[in-house]
Amino acid sequence: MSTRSMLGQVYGRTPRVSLPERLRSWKYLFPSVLIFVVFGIVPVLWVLYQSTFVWSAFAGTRRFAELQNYYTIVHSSEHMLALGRTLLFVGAALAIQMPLGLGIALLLNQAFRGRSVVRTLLILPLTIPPVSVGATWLLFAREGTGFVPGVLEFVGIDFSIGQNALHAWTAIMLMDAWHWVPLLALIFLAGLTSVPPSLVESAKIDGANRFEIFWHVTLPELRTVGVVALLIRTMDLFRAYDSLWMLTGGGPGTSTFVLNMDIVRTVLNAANYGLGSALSLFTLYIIVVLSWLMVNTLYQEVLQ
Amino acid sequence: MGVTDRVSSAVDGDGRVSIRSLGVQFLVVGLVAAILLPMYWTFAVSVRSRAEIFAGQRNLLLDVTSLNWDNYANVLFEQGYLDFVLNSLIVATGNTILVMVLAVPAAYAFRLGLRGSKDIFFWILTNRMAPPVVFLLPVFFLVSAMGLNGTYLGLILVYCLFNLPFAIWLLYGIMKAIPPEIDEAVYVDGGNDVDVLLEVIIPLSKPGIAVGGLLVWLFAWNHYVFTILLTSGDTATITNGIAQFFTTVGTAWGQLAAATMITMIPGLVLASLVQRHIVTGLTFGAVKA
Repeated sequence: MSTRSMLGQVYGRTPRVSLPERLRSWKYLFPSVLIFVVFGIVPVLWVLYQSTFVWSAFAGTRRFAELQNYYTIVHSSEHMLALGRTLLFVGAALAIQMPLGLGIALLLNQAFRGRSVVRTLLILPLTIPPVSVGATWLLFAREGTGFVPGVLEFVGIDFSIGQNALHAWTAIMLMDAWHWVPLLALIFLAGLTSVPPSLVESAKIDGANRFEIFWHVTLPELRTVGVVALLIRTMDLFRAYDSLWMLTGGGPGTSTFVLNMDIVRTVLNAANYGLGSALSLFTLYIIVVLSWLMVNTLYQEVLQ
Repeated sequence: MGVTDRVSSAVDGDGRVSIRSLGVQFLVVGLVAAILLPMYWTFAVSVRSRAEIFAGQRNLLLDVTSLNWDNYANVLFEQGYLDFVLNSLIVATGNTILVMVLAVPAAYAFRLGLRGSKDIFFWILTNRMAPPVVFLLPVFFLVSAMGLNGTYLGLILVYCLFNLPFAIWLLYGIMKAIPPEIDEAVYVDGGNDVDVLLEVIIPLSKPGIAVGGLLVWLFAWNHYVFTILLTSGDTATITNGIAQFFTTVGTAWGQLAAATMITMIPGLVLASLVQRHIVTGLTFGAVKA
């Protein structure tokens, strides 16, 4: 039941409301909406406008070209490959991080000594800026200064994030999991605390084993936090730039070159605002549509 | 003997205590090691001299007798890192205060109910979805047009773009779990919406406000992309400072590591302050009233 209908029942009002009644809640939201209009909608409109121009790089002139930039993007293997890498990165990271976050939450929900200390420790990776996380993992994983290549040398693996694309992606995946799985674990832990112990108890009395309790009692209760965690992580994976740029810089070659790097390069380096703007909107559009599908297919209640 | 003691102290309900608890402890130790190892490595690099780093000094163990603190002194006193820390403290704290002041009433508005609230809510979330690099240029022009480029206020306002949706989301999750019957008691006593907000909602949302504040502060403290164009020499943040260590003539690894260690401290202090709220504040509405 939504808050609106609950309130409606409690106060004996119908959901259809008069103008002052509507302003009743709007006035609390208005300052935030103002911020989003100024710093959210205005820039998007600006980007939309810019994306209709084609710039000539050196003359510094531009001409109106409708959707030509979008056509260029869709037909460019370079940009489409960046998109493909981004989707692969987001998908693979989600597939690794969601179960891992849940697993860690289940582990930390057990009774053991020092539990609260370990839970607090989960905050640690979040206290480090992504720029530093990238730098830290570069120190940790790169040839020359790294711990990882040093260890792998012993087993005969020549680990090199600067030369081997698979190694570079492995380092990225490890880094991102290290950085963000703790937050997922905290969110899942919060969800676990909301599972009513009475439900678990009665399942035990009915003779359910641990796995059955997890599957039929705990997991359904984790649905809300699960979708929230999935959404947060999806957004932030698409936003990821600082740490990846620090760690691999898109290399070796272009093998870890994702959309955000593509946007920065197009906008800042090639001085091609039009194409960069189109690429920005294209990226934003993909994220918004994917998130919308996620919310609507998985669990609408998250928004209600 | 010590191990068995600890194991049996982990109460498990049924009889099969020891193997299961041992397994849990084994996994927990692994988890703690996985979290700490990259940090420990950064610390190790930060207290090694340049010569040691480039000689391929990759021992896990440090020589405690000859720790080299030069990198810290250099970063703090010669590279002006203290100024960066101060700037970041101002921006992150200012942004956190602004975001929480806006987010608490905004989340309350959703709790009161709005027409089309689901669509408005999703629209608010889309602001966090946009990668900062997408908005970098237009936001730069916008902030410049407002005369706020290179000011703290510019960054404080712009960071709302990704922090405010997150805070509203988190707080609304907490607020919608508060039973409406409690509000009713205030209304019956002749109170209005503001009384409900101040007397019921805010006190009961404390864990969410604490954790939301912590995460918002950390996201602001950690942010980099917008600072590239929106800071001037006077307002450069720690993330600008860290990026400076990657120069065209090579990377100052030791100083970079020292700077990273320094960067962590304020966040850890803040996290320890709200530590007991961390789990309860992150329910995102999972707790049903």
